Amino acid sequence: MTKVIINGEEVDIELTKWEFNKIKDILNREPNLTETQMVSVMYSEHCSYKSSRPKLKIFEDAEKNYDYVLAGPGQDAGVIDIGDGYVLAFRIESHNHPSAIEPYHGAATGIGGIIRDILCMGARPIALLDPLRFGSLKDNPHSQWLFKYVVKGIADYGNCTGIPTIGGEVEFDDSFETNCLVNVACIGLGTIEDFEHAPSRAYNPGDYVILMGGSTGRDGIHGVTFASRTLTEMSEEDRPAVQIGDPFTKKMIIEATLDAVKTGYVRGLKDLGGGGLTCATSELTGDGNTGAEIQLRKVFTREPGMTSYEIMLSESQERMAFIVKPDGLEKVLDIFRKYEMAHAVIGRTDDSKVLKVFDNGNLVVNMPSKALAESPTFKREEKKPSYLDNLLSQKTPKYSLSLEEIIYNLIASENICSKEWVYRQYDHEVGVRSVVKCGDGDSGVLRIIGTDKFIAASVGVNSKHCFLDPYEGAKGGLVEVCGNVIANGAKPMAMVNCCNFGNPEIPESFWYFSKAVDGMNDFCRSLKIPIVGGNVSFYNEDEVTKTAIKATPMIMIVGIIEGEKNIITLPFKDVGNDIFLIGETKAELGGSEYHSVLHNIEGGVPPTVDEEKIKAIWEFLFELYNRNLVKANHDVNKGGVVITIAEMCFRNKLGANLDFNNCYGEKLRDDEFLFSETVGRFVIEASPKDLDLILDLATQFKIDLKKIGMLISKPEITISGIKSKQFKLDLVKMKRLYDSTIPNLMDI
Amino acid sequence: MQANFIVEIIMTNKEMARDPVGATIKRDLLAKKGYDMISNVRSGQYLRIHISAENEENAKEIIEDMCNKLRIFNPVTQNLTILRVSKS
Repeated sequence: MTKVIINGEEVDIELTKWEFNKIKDILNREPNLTETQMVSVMYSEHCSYKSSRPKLKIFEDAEKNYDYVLAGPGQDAGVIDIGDGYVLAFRIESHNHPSAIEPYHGAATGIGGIIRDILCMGARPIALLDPLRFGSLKDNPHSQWLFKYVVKGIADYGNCTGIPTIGGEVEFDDSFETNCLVNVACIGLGTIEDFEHAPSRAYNPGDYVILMGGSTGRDGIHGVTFASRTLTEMSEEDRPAVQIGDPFTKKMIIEATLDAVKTGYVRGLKDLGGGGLTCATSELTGDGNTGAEIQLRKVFTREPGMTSYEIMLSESQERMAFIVKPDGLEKVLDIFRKYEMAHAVIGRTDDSKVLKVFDNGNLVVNMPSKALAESPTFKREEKKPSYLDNLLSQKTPKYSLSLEEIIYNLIASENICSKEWVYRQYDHEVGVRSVVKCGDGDSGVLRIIGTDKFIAASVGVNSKHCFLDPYEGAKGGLVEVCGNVIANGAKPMAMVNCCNFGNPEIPESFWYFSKAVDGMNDFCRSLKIPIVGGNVSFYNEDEVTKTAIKATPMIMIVGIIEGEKNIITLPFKDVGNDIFLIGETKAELGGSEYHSVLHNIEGGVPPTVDEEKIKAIWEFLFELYNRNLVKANHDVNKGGVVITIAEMCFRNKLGANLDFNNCYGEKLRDDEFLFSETVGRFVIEASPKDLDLILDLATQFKIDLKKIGMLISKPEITISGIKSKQFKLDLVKMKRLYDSTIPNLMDI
Repeated sequence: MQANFIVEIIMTNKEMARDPVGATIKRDLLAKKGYDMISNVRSGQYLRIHISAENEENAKEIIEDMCNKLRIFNPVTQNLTILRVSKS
């Protein structure tokens, strides 16, 4: 907070003195209160990316490097061309701060916001995915409360708008206790024509500016400056910043918007989210190199007596801004009337490159449109935290429980157990596109109606790995999430990310961000995956304890499957089939569930990524797919290889005889092999008649592949070929533990 | 001495917050039938609770405390008003 004098009155503003003086330089005069507050919103971290932009520049060339990328970073959503005249638009963003204060409405309006982002690319939202982070649930009513209502908020909003929630990911860790993470992702499907119709810019002077949807109220003023701070005790007072969503109105907005875009008269489209009308008008004109005159009193307000500053900054939900060609104005308004959506023509664009806002004839804002859209950036310091070396050198203690007891403990742990309690609340089938549903695959798979193409999408990253090594952790996250779509038979097409970190003004927190960005960039370049969008949420830091959340560069991958016969699912299918482990296992237990659940330590050596090996494994898998050799596939993830196999057995009540002879050398202990979370590994099922062919192909592709066992009809897993004596796991018991953890913790 | 009371409470969205239910009723039911004189509708939830307490004040206190602790309403977005306390 800075104190400045405006019109002879002392006011508190969110800008620094330097930023305030910069506005004076641009305007060549003193800004008034409305102008100052508009700038302070646009220069907030949330709108301007002032700390992250210098670093994120390395992502900017996706459109240039890949033919099929139509919109890359910096737009409301990434857009790719998937052939047959269709495009996919997708984006992931955070709604962490509002959800930490009011989980239900915070999460719901997060969904509302991401739907609008997709909509303004001219695409129909067809799927939602929600990665979440909370504090541990055990004996923690606060975390249980957040978890319960965040999930309910997502479910209620998503279900009411008729968009299926097809995937997500949840991790529990105490670093998220006061700063939970609610990341929301949406995928939209549209035609190339509609996408080209609706840029999020106003390129043409003389077009009408129309506001459509909900009315403008005093809610959520300065929501973005609130998101650009840490949550303090003061946040209780800031609570009016939380919004109330209205999914039924949103459904009408979706239909009205898509209808309007179809007319071809809409030449610019922008949603009103963070920063409200200020952000929408300045970005439309600033990016389009035009100006506009806005008549403030045309905006339909919910309450009488709102000041110009309140109208410009309101973040009321469910509003869209349209830039419409003059000769199509009545046609577009007729569509809004048909859907009974409130609307108003609030102004016109011009070629002045100045944004002028009039309040009853008085000029209240008169600023170059670029001044608002292009904020200054800051180079932040980065420094590796001093505690890391100690953590990385932590050794895996000797284990005292038997291996089978350890596995029973792991399968029941919060981070490994079934998340059915969550996805049962989501409608994942509405829209009749869902093919592979929650629990049946590593990713959600959707049909593109009218073609034989399918979309696979997955989200995730391992926060514990990133905490120990953000560079390798971010790469590992990519390996895992790409692995999820590949396990379902899809080729990864593009990536979007949502960077959740602590306070960027603290060098240690910024170091995590910087390293994670480098990791994502290096991996995506070597594996040829375009990065088409991102969102940054800083200040996820507890003011009282001065600790940041574990670094969470959340990753979303969208892939394409050509042909229904090429969809692979997770459950094991037939007794007698062979089970293979693909990829080498290393003693990488740093940040593993085994370390945290059994030994209560966070350190150790986390997984590292060898891009060449990963690439070979992916190519090998697609070769197997082409020859129809794979019956089931699941990537090896938290808890290690036995947990992965158990998850594959559950659905069809099968069992497995496993022999790990020759899978790991002298140097690895049994627990290091069984519970390692080395990334990039897969477990596949294949018919015994194809054994020789698969082994030959593995040699040809130079990848590590071992036959580790066979499927049996009895629901048990027997494990031999390890250094300790062989043992047996009861899958009925494992399934019970797997299913009951979250319902028990949530008392339901 | 305990006596029986009825406490009636009403929960509404805060004035500043939007109220989709009220807005829908206004738009769909009233505006369509030509009730132009209606300018605003706000919705709420009503609870009628039977309670045994020492006196009216005590009954009121118990209910207020309960609603806050158990989050019967959402203090972030809603107001709670005790409409009346009466002997049952």
